[in-house]
Amino acid sequence: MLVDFELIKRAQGGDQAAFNEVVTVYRKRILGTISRLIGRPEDVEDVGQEVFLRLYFSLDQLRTPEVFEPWLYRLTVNAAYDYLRKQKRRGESRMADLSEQQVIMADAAAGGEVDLELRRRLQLREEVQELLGAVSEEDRVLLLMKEVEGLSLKELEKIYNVNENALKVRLFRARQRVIKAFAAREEGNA
Amino acid sequence: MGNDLEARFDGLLAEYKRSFAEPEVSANFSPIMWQKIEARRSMTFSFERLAQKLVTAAMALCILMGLFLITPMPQVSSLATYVEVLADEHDIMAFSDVMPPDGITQQ
Repeated sequence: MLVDFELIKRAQGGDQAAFNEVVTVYRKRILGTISRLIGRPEDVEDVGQEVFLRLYFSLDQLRTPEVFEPWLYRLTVNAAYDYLRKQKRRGESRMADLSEQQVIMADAAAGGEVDLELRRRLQLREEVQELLGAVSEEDRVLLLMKEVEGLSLKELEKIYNVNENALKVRLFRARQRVIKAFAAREEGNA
Repeated sequence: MGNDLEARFDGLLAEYKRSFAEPEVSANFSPIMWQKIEARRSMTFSFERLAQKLVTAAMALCILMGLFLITPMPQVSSLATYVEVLADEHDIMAFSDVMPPDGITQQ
């Protein structure tokens, strides 16, 4: 745990400075996770603020220090999932498309060539996001938490409040679907 | 082939992770977060007040309805005739004291 439980207790008592300190310590880590989960940099701060807002209003329910981080991750997962679901409902175009357009427009305005490395990274993100479209938003977030964020099954068990075996089954199925889409894509490219 | 595919997929995910730079936190992050907290708090407060008023109104209505139901109502059977209702309201003996039947003299 990155902060002392005393600090959290002070925040629970309504100390705004203490809550601000908790936010300052965790925000970079949480924003990093959100950016990889939603893949849309321009909305990362908005989702991050929603996570800390939910934390603020549920902080009084926290009793023991060891559950703080899994709980914060649960709030992050839920906020990312809600965001992805809303995006799907709105039917908006994905991050990679928009970002690439923005990059090209900025490049055109600057009169220079698009940075090849940046373009490669954007294409890579776009490709992964497309592959992840083979599973539901819930499974996408779960798969990324395991495969990209590197959380263990024990940690995921605490976050999702589901037993390890059920998680293993869900993860296996989701991974197989995405790999199948990956294989089909590779075949198409060959 | 299968293992090779899985390894390539794992490599792709590792590259995906590397493609994201360390997030930059804007200076407005905390002020906007507090604005959102205040907005949510005031909304919750207004909702609580509205809910309290509704609960009070519902309780008052329940008490009024309870009083209305407890208050005894005059029991008039809709099947009884006018004469039966009159007979119920007056003692039969008292009635005979006032008006003795024909052919019966008072002693």
